[in-house]
Amino acid sequence: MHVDPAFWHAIGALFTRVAELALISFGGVNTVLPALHHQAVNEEHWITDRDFANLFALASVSPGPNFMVLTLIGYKAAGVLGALVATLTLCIPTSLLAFAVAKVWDRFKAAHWRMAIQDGLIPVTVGFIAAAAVLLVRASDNSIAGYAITAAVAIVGVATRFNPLWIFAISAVVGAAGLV
Amino acid sequence: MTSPPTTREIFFAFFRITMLAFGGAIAWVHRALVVERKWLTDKEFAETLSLCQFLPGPNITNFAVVVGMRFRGARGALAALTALILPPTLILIGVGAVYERIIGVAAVRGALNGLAAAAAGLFIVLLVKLLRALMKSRPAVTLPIAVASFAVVVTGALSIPLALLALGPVSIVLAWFRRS
Repeated sequence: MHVDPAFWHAIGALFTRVAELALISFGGVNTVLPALHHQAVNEEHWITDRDFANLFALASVSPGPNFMVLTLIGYKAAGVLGALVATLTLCIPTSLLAFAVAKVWDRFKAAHWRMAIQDGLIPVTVGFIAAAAVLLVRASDNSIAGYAITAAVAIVGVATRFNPLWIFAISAVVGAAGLV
Repeated sequence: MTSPPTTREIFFAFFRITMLAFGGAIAWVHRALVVERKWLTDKEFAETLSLCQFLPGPNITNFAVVVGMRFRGARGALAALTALILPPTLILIGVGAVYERIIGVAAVRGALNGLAAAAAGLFIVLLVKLLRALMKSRPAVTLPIAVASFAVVVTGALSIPLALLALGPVSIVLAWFRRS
C-alpha cells in the first residue's frame, strides 16, 4: 500500500484530538462541539467554517445520533479510515467507562446516597432537555411552515399514540418544495 | 416486566432507533423504549439519562450501553452499541462521499430543513413526558431546579458541565433530606 505521510498524520491527529475531547465531554458531546469546531477548522484545517455548519446540519438529519458529525469530519480529514477512527475513538473508551460505572452504580440500588444522587440529578437533566428543545426549535424553525411542522409533531406525539414518522415524511417533501 | 428483552430484541430496537434518529436520537430512544416497547418507565428513562449525562462521552451511546447491560449484561450492551453506531457510520461515510455534490441542491437543503423542524417537535414531546414524570415527585422542589438548569443553559450563562457542577450538588442535597 502506498504510504502517504499527510494521511497518516491526519489519522494520528484525529485519534489524539478525539480521545482528548471524549475524556472531557461530561454532559454529552454537545459540550465539546465548540472545541471540535476550533480544532477541525482553525488548527488542523480539515474543513472550512461553512463545511462545519453544513456537516452538522447533515448529521442532525441523517440516521444516527447527532454527535456523528464527528464521523463526517473524520471522513473529510482522512477518508473511510478517518471516519472509523473518529467514531470509534469517541465511542469505545466512553462506553467501557459507562459499562463499568453503571455496574458499580447498580450494585448500590437501595443505598440512600445513590437514590439521593439519582433523584437530585433528574430535575437538572429535565432542565437540559428543555434548553435543548428551545435551542433546537430556534435553530431549525425559520418560517411559519417550520413552526407548524414542529407543533404538529409535538401535538401528535403528546396527545395521540400515532407514530409521528409520517409527519417527518410530509415535512421532507414540503421542505424539498422550498416551503420551509 | 416479565422477562427482559433478548439480545436480539435489544439489537433491533436500537437499530430502529438509529435509523429513525433525525435530529436528536434521545427523543427517539424515549419513543422506542418507553412509549412503544414499555421496557422502561418515564422515571427509569430520566434516571438512566441522568446517569449517562454525568459520564463523559455521547449521552446516547452511554444510554445504549447501560440499558443493554441491565437487560443482558455485556452481550446486551454490545448489541445496543453496535446497532446504534455501525449502520449510521456506514451511511455517513456514503453521505461524506457525495456531500460536495448534494449540499448545493436546493431541494436537498429544503428537505433537510423540513426534517429538522419535525425533529424539534419530537424533543418537545420528550420534554412534556419528562415534565409529567417530574410533577409526580415533589414538584415544589424539583420544578424550580429544572427551571434553573433550563435558564442557565438556554441563556448561555453556564455550559452544561458547569451547570451540572453548580446545580447538581444542591439538588442532590435537597433530595437527600427529602428522603431522610
